[in-house]
Amino acid sequence: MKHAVALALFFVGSARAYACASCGSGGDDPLVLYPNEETKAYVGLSRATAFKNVGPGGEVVTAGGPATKDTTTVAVGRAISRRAFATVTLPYVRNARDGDSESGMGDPSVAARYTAVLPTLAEPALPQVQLVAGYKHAQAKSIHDTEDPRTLLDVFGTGFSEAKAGVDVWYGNYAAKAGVAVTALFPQERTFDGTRYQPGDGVRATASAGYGWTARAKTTVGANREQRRALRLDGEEQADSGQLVHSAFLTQDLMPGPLDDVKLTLSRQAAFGRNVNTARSTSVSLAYTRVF
Amino acid sequence: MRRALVMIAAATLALGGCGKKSKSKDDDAPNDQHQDEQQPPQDGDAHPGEGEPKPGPQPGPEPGPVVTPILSESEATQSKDGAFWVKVVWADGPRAEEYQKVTLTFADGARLLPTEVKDVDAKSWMPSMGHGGADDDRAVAKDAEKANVYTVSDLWLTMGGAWELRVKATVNGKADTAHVKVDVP
Repeated sequence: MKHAVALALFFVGSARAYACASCGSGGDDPLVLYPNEETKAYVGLSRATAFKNVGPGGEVVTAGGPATKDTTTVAVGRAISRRAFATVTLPYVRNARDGDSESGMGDPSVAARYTAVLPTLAEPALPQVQLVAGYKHAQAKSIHDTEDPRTLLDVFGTGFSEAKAGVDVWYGNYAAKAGVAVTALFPQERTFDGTRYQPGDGVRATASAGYGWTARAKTTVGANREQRRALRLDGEEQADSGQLVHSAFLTQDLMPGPLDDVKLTLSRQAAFGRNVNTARSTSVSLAYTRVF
Repeated sequence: MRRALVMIAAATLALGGCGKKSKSKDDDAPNDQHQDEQQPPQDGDAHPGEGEPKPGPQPGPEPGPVVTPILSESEATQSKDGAFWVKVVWADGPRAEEYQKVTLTFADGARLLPTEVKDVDAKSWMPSMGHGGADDDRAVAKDAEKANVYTVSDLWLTMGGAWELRVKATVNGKADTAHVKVDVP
């Protein structure tokens, strides 16, 4: 069950929405700890390709920027109590196109979770309910301050710090599992070249369902919906700048040992439904998690 | 009946005397040369004997000069404060991730040929994303023959989508900006 919870929470991070193809990924927390774990480490490799932009009317157009975006993510989690833990996540991004590439740190993030409802064997039907809070610090170059505006190869972040808060509900005591997570997103305003940017607040919702074939193998599918309000520049709302993206993912989870976890995830941004002002892409991720 | 015919004849003679066009104050305006170019030739200008009474009833007051705009509303965009209209023609595009060149044709606020166009610039902007293109190397050039036509080269639209070309100009002494919508595939 705890691995299933980990998967569900990982999916929230792996099915992230991109503001546009060249903008950063937002850096969600991919790592969760369970009540009996004190320290946990995560290393993930992902490659995103097949970028296309989706315009204000849903039209699919040229993406621009890198053709591939490889992200190496390192995360470490530490228990604060039996019900609470905190994580630090550091992404390292490599953008490539036409034989050229640039690499750099993405936006680091911290997150904390508190398990408000902890299911027990006596009450297997009770869901696990976690409260989530996090903060991503914008330190990487964005499209607003790139030094390579034609290729955008040095763009590794969105340019905006972001706070988040949400709730994560997961039913994982049986072979068939399901969960829902809803997170409110609060990007921070920032000034570039004398213009004050105020990205719109957003809501991200993730629904997932999985099945544990054995104690060491699980498959999970899910969908993600993220919507953001319009961008404001110097207080003026920009028309048709709200964002909407529907994504889908499929993950195979293998646990070679009691302390190890390997996840292979295929995800597709802007995969279905109506999408607005976002990017379509396909990504493959391989992640390894170990408890210490 | 006879009395009625006499009255009609008298009225006809009186109206015929108004057919002669007098030079107005407006004829000296700078725009007049351009307006003349835009006007179809008047029959009265082409025939001798202008001003002579013509048989039959004549129209009442003389209509003002016919003015034909050089740009239509459908092909041009009006600046924010109404100082000018601009028509944008892309040389080969618009396209993302390629150097782009546009031709800007200006008209004044009434869509007539302006007397002066200066301080022209154009820059790409993507409102939905809040960023511009890579236009720092753009070059603005005035057309050698037409004072109201400029070209802007080396524009670079970073990606496809809904863009604007933000055109600045001072037309007939009024500075203004037009946001021309551009859909980039």
